[in-house]
Amino acid sequence: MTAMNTPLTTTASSEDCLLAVRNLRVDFTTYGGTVRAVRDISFHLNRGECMAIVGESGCGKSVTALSILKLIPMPPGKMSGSILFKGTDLVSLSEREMNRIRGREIGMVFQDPMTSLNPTMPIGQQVEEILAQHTPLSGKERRRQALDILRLVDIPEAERRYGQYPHAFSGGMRQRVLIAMAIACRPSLLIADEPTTALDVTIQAQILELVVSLRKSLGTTVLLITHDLGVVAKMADRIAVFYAGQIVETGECRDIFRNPAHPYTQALLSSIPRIDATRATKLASIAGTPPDLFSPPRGCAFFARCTKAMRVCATLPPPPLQRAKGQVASCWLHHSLAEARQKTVPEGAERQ
Amino acid sequence: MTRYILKRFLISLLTVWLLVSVVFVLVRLLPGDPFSSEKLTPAIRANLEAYYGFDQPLHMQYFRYIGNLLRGDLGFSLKYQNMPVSKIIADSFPYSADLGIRTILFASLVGISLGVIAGLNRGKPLEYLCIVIAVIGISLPDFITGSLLQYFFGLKLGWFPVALWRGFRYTVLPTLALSFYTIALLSRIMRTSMLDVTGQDYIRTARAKGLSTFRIVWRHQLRNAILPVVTVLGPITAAILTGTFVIESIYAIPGMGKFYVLGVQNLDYTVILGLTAFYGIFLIAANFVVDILYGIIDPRIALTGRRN
Ligand SMILES: Nc1ncnc2c1ncn2[C@@H]1O[C@H](COP(=O)(O)OP(=O)(O)OP(=O)(O)O)[C@@H](O)[C@H]1O
Ligand code: SF4
Ligand SMILES: [Mg+2]
Repeated sequence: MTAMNTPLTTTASSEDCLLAVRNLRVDFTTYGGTVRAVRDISFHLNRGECMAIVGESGCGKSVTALSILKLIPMPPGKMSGSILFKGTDLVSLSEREMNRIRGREIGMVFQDPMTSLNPTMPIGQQVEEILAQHTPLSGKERRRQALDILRLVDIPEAERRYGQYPHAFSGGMRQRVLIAMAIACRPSLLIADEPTTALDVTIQAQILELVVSLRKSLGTTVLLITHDLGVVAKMADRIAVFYAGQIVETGECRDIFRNPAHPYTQALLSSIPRIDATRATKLASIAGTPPDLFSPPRGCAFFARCTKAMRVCATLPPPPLQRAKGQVASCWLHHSLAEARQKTVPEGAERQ
Repeated sequence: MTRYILKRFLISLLTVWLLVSVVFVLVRLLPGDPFSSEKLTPAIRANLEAYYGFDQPLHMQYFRYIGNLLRGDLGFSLKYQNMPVSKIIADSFPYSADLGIRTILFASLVGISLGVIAGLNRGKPLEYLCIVIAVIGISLPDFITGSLLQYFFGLKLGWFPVALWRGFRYTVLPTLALSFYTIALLSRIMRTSMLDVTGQDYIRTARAKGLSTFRIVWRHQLRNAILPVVTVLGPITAAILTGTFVIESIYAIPGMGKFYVLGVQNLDYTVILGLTAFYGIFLIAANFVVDILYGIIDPRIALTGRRN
């Protein structure tokens, strides 16, 4: 990876950068008020890399992923900012134009394989129809290619399974079918939104294994959403840590695991259970709850839960600050003034 | 599968038997008897009663009737001379079936289309129009729609014949009148169902595949949205069937409904019982067909009678 310096809004050289999200905002207008689900985030993906998005439930991970394909319901949703994919701004594209990107240029795998397949259509047909939409193949060729793809994702007895309906498949097998559909047209970007969360632990490992091997064989760029930091450590090149609809820290996986700069990232990492991880215990050890996205706080969103909060954190949102090469954290602690003072003021003295 | 069908068959037999038995008792509880409307001398009357076996104790009559029924013999009408009930059915059922099938086809087509239109145009005027039609259709009883259509399009405007059943032009008003309720019901169910399916994960998957809106609606949404419609086809058949009683009377269509109504008015015991048994068997058969249809449309349902 080339060095991505200074703030989160760095521009990568165009041939390296596959996807660049700039100042993305997503609001949902509801009866209860406006939910600010994604609040001005920017990040980019380089060709061939795997970037992980991590963060607590409700922090806007799925909304971000869905926004890239413009799949959020609009209304009530409203998007602004820009999403440059291969240099084209997806935000300004029409539905028709988006349909040439969806499935063909960008594939997506969803969290819940049990409900993500059409129960009244044989799985073979569900794979085939994406080929029908995006390729000029004949019916026979389509079938052959769909079978090949099903074999590629390790569906045993693909030929026999071809005409079966989703209810005859286990969760893990369904997820394989969904992955098959997502990669059927060899997209340059694969978005996987918590692809293993709904599966048994043993199956989870197999599915991740599959994603890793596909990524190797197809050279696909992967945007992986998860709240399993173990998965991140295994698969990702870079991480974006989400908190309350914002990115609080990004950087190379190694750097962030070794040296997390944002207090939230630190808390996340220290809350990884040592031996066997069950989902419930994973993020439980950060005290307090994320802020209300109806009226996000003025200053740092993590203020209420931060053990290192200072007075400035309550009123001014922290700017993205450069740490190591490519590692950027939005936290006042890393402001030059705070860093200078920290050496003299005992920790916590700034808190009221 | 075979066991399921066998079980269904036995239950059906039991249902028909119960139905016939209850109606057998109920018609006898009605005041009067089949011969009271005619001015007969006591002697002739006794003669007639003996002829039809009404002089015997009720339970003997009952056993005899069930015995005949099991042999497929529905007896003779008490009102029309020399008219077997089976012949009444054979003569009149084609009219009712004709009307019923026209209604089911027309009402399903219009009802489902309205529901789809409403479901796809959420919050737009088109949706409200569909809702208004649905509300009107559900709240207007058959005899009102029947009479109104007859009055305006038959009598006032003269576009269609006022009554009888002698060709396509004659079928229009009765079919329309009988369809109203079903259209309303189906469009309402279909609309809710469409909205429900729109929010399903697999529709999002289909959109993520880049399929065109038309393809998503046609290939993914409709088939799933239509499932709840299929489940109400049974009750709808029943509703249309009772609707024919009214509509056939209003439009003087020589269908079974008309004979049923007449049979009750005349206390024609054998006709009432015979037609009841026929209606019962017909409805049960219709429900069975619907079950099988459901199994075909929804692959998750094997014919065990429940979802797995
Ligand atoms: N259609 C919608 N209407 C209103 N609010 C929405 C809608 N979709 C998402 N939100 C809100 O946006 C916020 C972010 O949701 P999102 O699904 O992105 O969370 P997430 O990070 O993916 O969480 P999880 O880990 O549970 O999947 C939540 O507060 C959610 O309530
Ligand atoms: S900006 Fe302040 S409140 Fe926010 S994470 Fe940093 S120290 Fe904590
Ligand atoms: Mg999510």
